[in-house]
Amino acid sequence: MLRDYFLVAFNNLRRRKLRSWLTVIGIIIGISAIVSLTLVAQGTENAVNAAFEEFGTDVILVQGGATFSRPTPGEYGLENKDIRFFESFGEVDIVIPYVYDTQEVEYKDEKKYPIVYAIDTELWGEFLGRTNFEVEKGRNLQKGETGAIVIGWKLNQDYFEKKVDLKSRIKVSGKTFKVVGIYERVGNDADDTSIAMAIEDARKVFAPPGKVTGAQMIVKDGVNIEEFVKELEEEYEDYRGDKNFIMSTSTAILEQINNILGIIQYVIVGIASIALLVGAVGIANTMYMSVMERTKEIGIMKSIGATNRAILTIFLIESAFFGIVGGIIGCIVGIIMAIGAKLAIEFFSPGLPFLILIDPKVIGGALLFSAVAGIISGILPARSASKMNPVDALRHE
Amino acid sequence: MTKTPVIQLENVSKIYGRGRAAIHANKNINLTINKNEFVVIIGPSGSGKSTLLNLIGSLDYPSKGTIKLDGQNIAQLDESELAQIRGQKIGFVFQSFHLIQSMTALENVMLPLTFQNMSAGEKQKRAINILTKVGLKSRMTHLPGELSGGENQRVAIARALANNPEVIIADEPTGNLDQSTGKKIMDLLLNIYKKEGKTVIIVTHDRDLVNITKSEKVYKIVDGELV
Ligand SMILES: Nc1ncnc2c1ncn2[C@@H]1O[C@H](COP(=O)(O)OP(=O)(O)OP(=O)(O)O)[C@@H](O)[C@H]1O
Ligand SMILES: [Mg+2]
Repeated sequence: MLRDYFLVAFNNLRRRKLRSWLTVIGIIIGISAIVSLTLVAQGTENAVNAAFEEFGTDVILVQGGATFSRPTPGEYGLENKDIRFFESFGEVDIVIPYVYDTQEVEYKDEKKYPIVYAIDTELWGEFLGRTNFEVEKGRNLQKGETGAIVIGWKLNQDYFEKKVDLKSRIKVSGKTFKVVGIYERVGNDADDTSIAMAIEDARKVFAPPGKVTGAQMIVKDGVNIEEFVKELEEEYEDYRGDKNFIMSTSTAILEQINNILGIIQYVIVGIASIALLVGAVGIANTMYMSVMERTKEIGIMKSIGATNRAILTIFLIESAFFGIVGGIIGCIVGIIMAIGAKLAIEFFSPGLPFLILIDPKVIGGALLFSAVAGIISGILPARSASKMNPVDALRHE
Repeated sequence: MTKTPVIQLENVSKIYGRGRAAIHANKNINLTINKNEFVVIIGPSGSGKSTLLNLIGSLDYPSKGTIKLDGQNIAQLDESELAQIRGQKIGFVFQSFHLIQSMTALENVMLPLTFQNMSAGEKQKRAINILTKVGLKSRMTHLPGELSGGENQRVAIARALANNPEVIIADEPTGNLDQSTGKKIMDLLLNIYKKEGKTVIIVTHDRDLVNITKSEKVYKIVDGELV
């Protein structure tokens, strides 16, 4: 029986093809917006989490004289005694101090001011393991090696008018260095134009003696990092005598970012839901029009034995159809849009591990949502159709 | 031959609207229709003929009085039971055919069977059979818009017969047809009465057609009253 009602309902949909499709498009827009935005938001979250995973959850970052949790170029807010202070804690495994600055860099008579950072070559491997940097050509700095640099991907491209390559010689702050390695593309210009060198070299050329920009502390296994960082922060404040530093853990930063991403996700899904609501109103509108136009048919069907329930079912099938078909096509369009966004992001920022997972929860939820929207928007029109008096309906022209 | 009453109306009135605007479309009608009768109802326009047929066909409830179909008081039935009665015991034929324009002749004839929960194969078999009987075997896949008036009315009659009802109710079935086509339709209805043993109730304006039927049961209605 239900099968026959489907046939009757589809007969009606087929008859008003253009209008049916326009109604479905309303739902497609709403659902595809919800699906694509949710998938992109999830992908962003995945990318951020993956980046932090690489960085590690056992790291405490400290910047001296900084107000921002990213390194501030040219700030030398930590001294050797600060580093030794950190090292004195039993919970701390290694401290990796670093210098981070913008410097005049000259290549074949062209001058630029990229970021130059420097680390003790002894700690180089430890440091690189926690970054996006990966050597593509050449090699890393070796322990104790001086006079050598590793350059960002862009220097090997068009950063300077003449391409810098392995074995090229570059002047940093007036002193000549030899390029021994080139990093893979990271995806942001600051990293892709940067130059890495040994901290001893940096001290000789530009960095003030006995001072660094910041440090990464790697805590020992089994240390509760959140508790430890609180304790360390208090003790360090006492030691320094001021609050002029920033200490943060990757987990805390990750939590903050995920909170913000979560809010953004709710906001965009909320906005996309308005589109779906408009689509649902479109269904209700189409259904009312369809009930009006088919008043006489409703009378005919009742005169040949259709119950109110049968009429209700036929009209609800129609409105559910709008919702379900709109939902299916909307999901497909949404997935395609999300993949398009992923490709665009990868193009502009290739290093980012931006992963779009076709989350079955999102797809299932969207389909359910659209079917429910279709049925709900059909309830009132279908009820008014089913309640019609057959004699009046038959008189309708 | 003993007479079995199929439809009994006792003091039936139908009032549309209320207060000063109330229209007494049917007044105090008493009427008994027996099994396998051919009943003709005549009367001027607006006299209440269609109203009466709608009540007989349980398409509407009376305002006053009782209507019994096979001894069952229809006032005591709810909407869905009434719909079942229309589907199983009554077949309607209307002046303007009232076919569903987007469905083929075959689909139109199958539709009442759909509401009776019949299997697809059975429905199709039955509908083809009946369409063949009314002479439309070659026209089954046509839409109403592609058929002549007389053919449309044949489809409508086939649809009325689909559920093998006891009673066929036809409200001016020839009203939209020319003389000779109208006569053929009337012959078809007479055939249904004679050969199939159905109870047929028709409303018509056409005196000539009334004569053809040779019916002994001709009722006249004036101003809502049987005279
Ligand atoms: N649904 C309705 N609401 C209000 N008045 C109605 C309704 N149906 C019929 N009437 C009125 O009831 C009276 C009888 O109408 P009915 O249709 O039964 O007449 P009829 O004899 O079939 O006329 P005709 O030969 O023109 O078809 C008319 O005055 C009509 O206007
Ligand atoms: Mg009439």
